[in-house]
Amino acid sequence: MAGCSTAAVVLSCHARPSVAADFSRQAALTSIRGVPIRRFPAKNRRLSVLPQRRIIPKVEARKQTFSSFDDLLENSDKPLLVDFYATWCGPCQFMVPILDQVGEKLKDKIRVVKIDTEKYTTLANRYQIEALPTFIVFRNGKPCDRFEGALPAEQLISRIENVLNVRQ
Amino acid sequence: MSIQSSFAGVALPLPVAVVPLRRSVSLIRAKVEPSEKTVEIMRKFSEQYARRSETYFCVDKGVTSVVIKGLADHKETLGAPLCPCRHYDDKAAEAAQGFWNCPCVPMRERKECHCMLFLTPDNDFAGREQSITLDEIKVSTSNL
Repeated sequence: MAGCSTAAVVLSCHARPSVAADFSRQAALTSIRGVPIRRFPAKNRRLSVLPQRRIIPKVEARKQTFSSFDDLLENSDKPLLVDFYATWCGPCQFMVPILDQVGEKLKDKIRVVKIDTEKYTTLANRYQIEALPTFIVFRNGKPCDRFEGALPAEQLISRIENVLNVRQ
Repeated sequence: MSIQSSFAGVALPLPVAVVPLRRSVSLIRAKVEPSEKTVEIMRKFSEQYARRSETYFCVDKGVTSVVIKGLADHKETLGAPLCPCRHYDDKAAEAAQGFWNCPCVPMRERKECHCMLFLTPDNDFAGREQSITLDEIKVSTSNL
């Protein structure tokens, strides 16, 4: 992972310009969609306030410190939907509002994480990402579903629900 | 009377910038944009190729704009418009090899464009246009 301190790595970045991490320690950015932006961060969490330059759906990016993607996988209380994207990939940008919607609708069941494959090439190579966007559903740290390409919100929701309902 | 004597004992020869302990927002923009000239080249290419292949741009022109910029970006950095909707181990090698240079082999052979740039009329996302202006591109990608 590029540019990391010993403690943590900035894991995922929004396609939009992101707020600088606090300088005393690096923080990983996971995007949790749909929760309203709070003005006063909780003690142990820093919430980023995104600049409002146009009308955008309400987004809260929650920063948490993870030492690596593996750490994120291990310590996640919920299954993860990981979106491997690139800034100049059209379908990936198309999915941004859809992921907001899906993250909000399924917020108790799954957590959405976005990974910029140009920043985290090792990670993208590890999972042999080819076409973008690629979505991988992780459960208990292991990939349990994988699909490529943009799809509408309803299809994405039903696919995720089907995957999560399958008994392990 | 020197300035120093008016203070208890600490001399401050230089103005000290008081930095608030907590800055609420700091914007770091690291993304490099392709030049307008190259974007224009790729825009013209996209229009011509859509007409030639009888395909259409996406209903959401934002997608078209982002892909055109992505092609322009690769053209500038790699010398060839490598498909922006793929992840590569070695971009330079891929650009030299050519399979994924736009128009890529899947597109040329089967009209398959997973970037959603060139869409066949039967595609759910296909619009009815085969043209896009530079302004449209600029506006759609101004937030990136």
